[in-house]
Amino acid sequence: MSTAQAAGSALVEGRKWPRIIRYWVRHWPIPVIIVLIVLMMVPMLLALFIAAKSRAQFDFNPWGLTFPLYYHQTFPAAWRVVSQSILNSVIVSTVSCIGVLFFGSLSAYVFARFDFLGKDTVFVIILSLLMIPAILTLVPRFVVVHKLGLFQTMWALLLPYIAAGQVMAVFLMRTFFVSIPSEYFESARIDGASEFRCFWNIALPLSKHIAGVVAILQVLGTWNDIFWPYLTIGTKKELFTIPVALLIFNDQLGQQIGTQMAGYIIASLPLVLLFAFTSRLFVEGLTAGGLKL
Amino acid sequence: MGLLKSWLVGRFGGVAAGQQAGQTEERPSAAGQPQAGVLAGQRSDRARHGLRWRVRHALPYYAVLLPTLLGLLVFDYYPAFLAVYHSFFEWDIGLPATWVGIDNFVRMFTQDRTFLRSLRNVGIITVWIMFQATVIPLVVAELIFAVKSMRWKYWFRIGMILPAIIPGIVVFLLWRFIYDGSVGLLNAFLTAIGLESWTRVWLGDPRIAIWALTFSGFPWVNGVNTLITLAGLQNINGEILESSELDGASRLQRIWRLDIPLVFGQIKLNLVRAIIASIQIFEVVFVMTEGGPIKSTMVPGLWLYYNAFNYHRMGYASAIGVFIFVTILLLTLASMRIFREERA
Repeated sequence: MSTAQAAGSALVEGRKWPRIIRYWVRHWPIPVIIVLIVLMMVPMLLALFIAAKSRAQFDFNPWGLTFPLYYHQTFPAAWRVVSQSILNSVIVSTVSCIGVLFFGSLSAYVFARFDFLGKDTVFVIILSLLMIPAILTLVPRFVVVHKLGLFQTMWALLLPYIAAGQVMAVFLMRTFFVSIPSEYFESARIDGASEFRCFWNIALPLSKHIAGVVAILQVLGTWNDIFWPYLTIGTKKELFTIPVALLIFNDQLGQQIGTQMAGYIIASLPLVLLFAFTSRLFVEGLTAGGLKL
Repeated sequence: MGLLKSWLVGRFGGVAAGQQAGQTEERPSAAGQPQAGVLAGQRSDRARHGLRWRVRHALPYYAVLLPTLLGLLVFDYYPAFLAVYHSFFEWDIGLPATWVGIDNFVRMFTQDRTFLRSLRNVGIITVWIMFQATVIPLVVAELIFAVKSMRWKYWFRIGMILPAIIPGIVVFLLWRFIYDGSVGLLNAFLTAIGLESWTRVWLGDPRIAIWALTFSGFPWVNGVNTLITLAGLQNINGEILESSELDGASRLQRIWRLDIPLVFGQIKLNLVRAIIASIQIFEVVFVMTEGGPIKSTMVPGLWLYYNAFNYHRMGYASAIGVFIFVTILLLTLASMRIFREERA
């Protein structure tokens, strides 16, 4: 009896559209955006699937997951090829990031807190670098690096990265330091703190967020840079960064498509991990508002 | 990821410029006032002391700035100067330079057919990227804006940005693979849906390669631009939107009459960033086609590289660099001026 009732009421309900369908009709942007995001991820998903395929499996069916999975073969093979360059990229990104944060924040502090002869002029001259496209200075910078004897050393990457990254760092951090109320520093000075302690113990801890933004920019920029390392590291395999290694080995691996894809995924993982920890900072920085011309 | 840099420039550049002009900015408490206080306190110093005292007073500060300034001098200012300087010379590393005046620039437009071809290509790419950087983000941002649930919104924002952190080289190589003639996924897809006659070597056909290159990156959603636009939408006063709803405006009317004018600053920022990035584009071309087949996908940036390192014409390469620099500068200024008038 009760089952018949239940069936009956379901039928009555069925006259109107089921609730779930009405819900999604009203909220149609949600599925549309989900489809878009999935489409945006399709190349990466396909790479993940293809990395599991042997060559024969790939020829038979390039789409979807095919079994058995060959991850245990493709990933170790790819790792052998890219491990050294991952290490190099980690070193380059980390060291240049620390360098930019250290020198950049010091300079920003000086620009924010003191007044001295020529300060405004020097600051404007530094900012003017933001208008110069990288392509203009590519060739002559290579000439400079060559003349300094840095060709095919890691310094050819580190020094220009640290120098160039500071423009942005000085800019952002100065804006932030200026906004710290000067009473903080004055009372510290009265208590006998040195100017360096004011910087180290007051300004730096307060600027954690903006320093995070600077660090992310620097890591992304150096990790993704293709051309500068390609030029300056040349043929020296043991100094390849990730993009150079992928570019060169891609042609060598040729027919081993699964291993190629595994290499792409390994190369992306460190940034994805970094993003997992900093996504909040990243997204908030972009959506906090006020970005416009 | 140079793109991230440029939005920050867009944002804080405005603040700095306003400060120098002495205008009141949107965030006076953040930047303007304390700064003004410091300067006022110090101005009396300037009047009291002579030049010698001021030079000596400034020295310790320059000592702290020294590493920064030295690095910029060696790796940025000097190269920028060299680029402009060498554009008037015929020159290669290790050889003496010969002054040729503006010959390099004349040759670019009169004798170098590859360069002219590269101008056409970069034109195509720039127009497309300008569209992709402004219109599509606006549409997607409106979609996300229409979502009421905060939790969905949060995840959508992360989903938008996630593809942007995949390294460029990986994206370029993946698309090269998708377009591949023998193992490529695009051909496999066309065969699977019965359009076998459409399959081709996408990046190997001189007539099609530039279009294949330009339209790689489907579905062309730029997450960073979308979030910038979305931020603009969220900053619109809710009462304005409510009253438009009460007055019976449809969603499309609201978007056209209210949203677009109110987020125009964000759209313009996206546009200028797109111009800066696309005029000097060359990494994607280098990875996907190396400018081929038969130089049909050449762009100025890559042509600069080939001239400098393959043909040993560094002077000529520098001239191309100066041309790109000036083009970016002019287009940026022009677009800012044109769109300012349109808004008024």
